[in-house]
Amino acid sequence: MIAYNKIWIRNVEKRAHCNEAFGQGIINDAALKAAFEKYPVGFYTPNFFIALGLLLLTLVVVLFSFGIVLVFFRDAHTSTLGVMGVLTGIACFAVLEKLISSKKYYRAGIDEGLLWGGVALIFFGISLPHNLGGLSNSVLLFLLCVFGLLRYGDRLIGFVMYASAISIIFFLFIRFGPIGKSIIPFAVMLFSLLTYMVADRWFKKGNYNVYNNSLLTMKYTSLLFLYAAGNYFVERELNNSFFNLNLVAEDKIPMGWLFWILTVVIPIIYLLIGIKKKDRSLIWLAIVLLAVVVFTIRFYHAVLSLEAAMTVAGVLLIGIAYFLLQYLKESRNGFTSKELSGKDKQEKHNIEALIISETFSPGQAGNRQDFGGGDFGGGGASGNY
Amino acid sequence: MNTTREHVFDELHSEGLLSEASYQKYREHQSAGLFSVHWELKTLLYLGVILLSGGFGIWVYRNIGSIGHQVILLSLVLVCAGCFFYCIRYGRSFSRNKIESPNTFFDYALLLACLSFITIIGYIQYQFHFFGERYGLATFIPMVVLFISAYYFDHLGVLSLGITNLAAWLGIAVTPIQLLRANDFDNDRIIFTGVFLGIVLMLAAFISVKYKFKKHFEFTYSNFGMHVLFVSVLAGMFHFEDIYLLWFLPCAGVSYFFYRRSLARKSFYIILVTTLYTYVALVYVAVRFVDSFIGTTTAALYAGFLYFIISAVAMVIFLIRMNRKLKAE
Repeated sequence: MIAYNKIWIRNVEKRAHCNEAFGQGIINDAALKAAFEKYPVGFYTPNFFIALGLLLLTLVVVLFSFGIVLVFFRDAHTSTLGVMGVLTGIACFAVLEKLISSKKYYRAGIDEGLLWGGVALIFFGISLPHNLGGLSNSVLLFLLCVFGLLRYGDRLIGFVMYASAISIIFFLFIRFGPIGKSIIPFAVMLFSLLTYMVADRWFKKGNYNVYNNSLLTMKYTSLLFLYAAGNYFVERELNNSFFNLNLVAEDKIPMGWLFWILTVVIPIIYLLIGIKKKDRSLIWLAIVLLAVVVFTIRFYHAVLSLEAAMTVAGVLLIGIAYFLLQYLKESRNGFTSKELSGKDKQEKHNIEALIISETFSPGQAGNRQDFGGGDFGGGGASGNY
Repeated sequence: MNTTREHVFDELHSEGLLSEASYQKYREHQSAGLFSVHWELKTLLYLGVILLSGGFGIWVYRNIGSIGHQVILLSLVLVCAGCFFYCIRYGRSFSRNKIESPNTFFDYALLLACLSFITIIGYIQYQFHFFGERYGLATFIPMVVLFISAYYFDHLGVLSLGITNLAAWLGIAVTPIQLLRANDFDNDRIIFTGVFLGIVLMLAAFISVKYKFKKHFEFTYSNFGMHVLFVSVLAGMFHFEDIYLLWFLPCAGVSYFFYRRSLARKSFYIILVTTLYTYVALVYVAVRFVDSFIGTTTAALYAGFLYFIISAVAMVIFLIRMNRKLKAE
């Protein structure tokens, strides 16, 4: 089903495990070499930065190719333009298939660009001329993404597929009137929990499965949506905007207390499970969601002034981190605050420096320019590096 | 972790490709399962420093005139002095080479010290007009402190802050994102200042390596220098519309310089940045050409769109070749 060479995909993962072990000093040079010989990979996968450039350029090519078609059919009816969009999208897939089989592109930027461009062109080509409703749009996108995921195992497509599945649930339940509306969050949570368990089991069972990446994406996307469905802000504001409730600031929502509990408790549970299972991605998800908790609470209850909240949070964070740094100097229960792999240290420090300068950039020249505070960006991944 | 999953090492071991010793090591590692939260804790520290200094910054401004405000200012001074004291007390003595920081916390104490120092200077200027109308001096002093701190304590983040401050002192905002977004480049002086700053930064990068004075600062200098130079010459092309072809020359020169540099450094990052900026320059020149020779007709539209496609494909081929070249060397 998958377009790429299955053995090579497995070998990519095996090689990654060997590289990791090499970085930790578990295996030596010779063993790594032997392993690489045993697990050949014939894919063309360029360096990350090159792939990023190729992705951008491929999107430019797809966009302007469709542009030319549009100029050619500029006087035609919208439905003709829609058909042309779909045809251009199909052309993208044809080129993609050809390049995968002849040039062996894999995560090369070009294949992703063609895939995303193709899916978008076909989706809008069908959706826009027919003025499809929410449910039909979601189903259409879901089907396209199922194909994209099964055939190419792309992570972004996996995420979009999941989101469109949630959207299908949403638009389906709306049809059942007020009762349907009120059980939407619980239906979404149940669905997310199920998909999480399926993805988790499947991932554990399959040894070097070609869909491992997709399963991991599904696992964490499930947890993300599980939280979102129970979040007070999401629940209240979605209800408000979709069903025109015209809530004002003081209005509460039915079962608000339950959503408040879910908002606060779920990230804590994630954090505890993440620590127990030593699951780094889950720990990061929990950290991000804990920040979401703070923003959610502050949105409805201004407990402290902004500056006081920032100062208190800053002191707390520095305090906790300082304590843990000291406490985990010697490893306890398998945790350590020391850096294990020293291989790409310098690179990480360079990235860190760039993040610092991004967050604290002064504004235009003037007498206030040195106040670099108040910017919450940075911190996480830096897409710009 | 993945106890139920068969690991690649079991397979390698059973086929005799992995020595018994290595396999044993892997099993030990697996059972010990040491989990490092180093970067998680660093992120928390960083967020803490951002929030604390940001909170203080807002606090100082909002409460100007009230009594509590002196207390806040005093605590800010205390934080700043305390952090600097901590750094001087625990920091290693100066060296021309890279100094490993004594502990993880150290770097963030220094960052907090520098950020609160900037806030204090900014406040003094705002409230008492300490430097009068000489705004230059109000940015010059923190800049000097930042550079001294960066060199003495060996801190790349503070160095970046120093470079940003240098640019602010010269009158432009200068981080890769802000360069593109916040700058009003419709100003001759700013464009020439940008070119000048870019050259200065590249020289600083060159000197760091040549005289082995903080050699590892090179990347930070040259990264800023590269973006500043490219954006400045591109802005020159857009701004001086009548002589845009003349401005294309320095642009091509800068492109060629960084092309050579990416080869010398075997840097994929530099070649990506160079390719993308150069692509923008080429597209601009082409659009101007089409505009002046064909005008805005349908033919021009086709020609323009075709050019976008062909040049993008050409860039794709170029990047693929560069990938091979950089890998091979």
